[in-house]
Amino acid sequence: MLRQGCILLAGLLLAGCKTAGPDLAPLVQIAPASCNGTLDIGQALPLPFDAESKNKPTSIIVDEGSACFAEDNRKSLYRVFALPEHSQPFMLTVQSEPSSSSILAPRLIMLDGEGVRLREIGYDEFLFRGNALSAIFRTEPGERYMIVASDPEQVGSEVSRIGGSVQTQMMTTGVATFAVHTGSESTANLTYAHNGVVNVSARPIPTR
Amino acid sequence: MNVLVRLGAVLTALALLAGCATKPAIPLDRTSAKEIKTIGILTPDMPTGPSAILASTPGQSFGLVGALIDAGIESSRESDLKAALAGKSFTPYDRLMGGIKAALEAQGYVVKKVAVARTERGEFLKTYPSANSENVDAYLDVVLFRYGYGAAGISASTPYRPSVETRVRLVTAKDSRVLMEDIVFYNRIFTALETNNVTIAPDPEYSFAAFSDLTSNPDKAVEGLDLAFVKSTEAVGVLLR
Repeated sequence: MLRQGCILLAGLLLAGCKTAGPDLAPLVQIAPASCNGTLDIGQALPLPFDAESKNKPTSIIVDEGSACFAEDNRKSLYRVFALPEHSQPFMLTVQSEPSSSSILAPRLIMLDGEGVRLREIGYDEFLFRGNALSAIFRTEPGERYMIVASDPEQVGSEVSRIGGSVQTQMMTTGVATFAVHTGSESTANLTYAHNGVVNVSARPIPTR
Repeated sequence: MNVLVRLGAVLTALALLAGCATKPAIPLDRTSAKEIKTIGILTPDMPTGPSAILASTPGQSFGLVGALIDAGIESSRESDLKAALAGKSFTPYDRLMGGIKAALEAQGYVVKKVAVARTERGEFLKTYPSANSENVDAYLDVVLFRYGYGAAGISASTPYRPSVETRVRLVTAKDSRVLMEDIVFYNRIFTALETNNVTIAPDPEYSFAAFSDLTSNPDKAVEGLDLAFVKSTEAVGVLLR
């Protein structure tokens, strides 16, 4: 009984190491509905400060229901976060999570308390970290809002990612328990899209 | 017996949990980095030769004996790979330093090489040069943790692909304050385990179903590794943007 518990525990722990994103069809065109020329910070979602770096990130979906803005005749969908007020700079992590066939082509716009643009963190500053396309950066003085937007320049292009992994299964013969390790590979073919799941966290800057 | 089983369960749980995440990245302190114009790349820590890793083997199921057999086979593969790369005059130091220098210069930094002695393999320096004889604003500490080829398993569906792991840390020259630290994985095989470090997927062009395919085609093997170094060092440039 106890041995079976061990096996189950190991299985659960390994299962907990990997997360799968939802199944979203890539949205590569935005319907010609209401797209504003300005960013609306009125619907900002408060981003909590995770002081102990233990909580799960705040997860949102950018989709057709999200706000839209147009710039140089290019449309983007976006969501707004109100950043936590903190006396020291902190670390923001933004992860664009892949679904089965698509991933949000992300870019970020940092605004001050009045909604004035301070800087932009472009798609080319994102790097894959694990399975997610991520930006990890420090806040700068005066930044109060963060826009997570789709990058129309990238939408429609594709990325293919090969990933290898090792699965471990606990086997028992009745006398002995042992682990069997099996390797496998998979290829994720993703279309950059206006929609997708984004995880965001605000945490202290790690120290060494 | 029950105590032993329980102890085993705890150790298994701890080992698995410990493997679920890597050391958190420290993003660049851009405010301080504005004052940094000249970066001294410290003599990098390098492995003595290439790796040829099989992430899963039958031997892993057979305890110490299996591990010893695996180690012997891996050592043999590494010798073969080292010979194949040497035959093509592949020098990882040049690839690494050349790539990082180019990546930093592309970001507008002036780059110098700073010679240091290293004593601990696979580790960042414990202390940084205080003399600052090269008159740099910051030091880039580079650990080439591993380079070579790796496969997730023994079947043809898990081919050998180039694999490079580069660890980087930027510190101020005046007081050794850490401004950035991260790991860049090119073809990180253990993708089931979470990481917030950079993970570059391997180029599908460079894959070898069997290890003998790799050593019998050293030109392509070198090309694949070259690309892995280029992509890895470009990512270091993005981290310092």
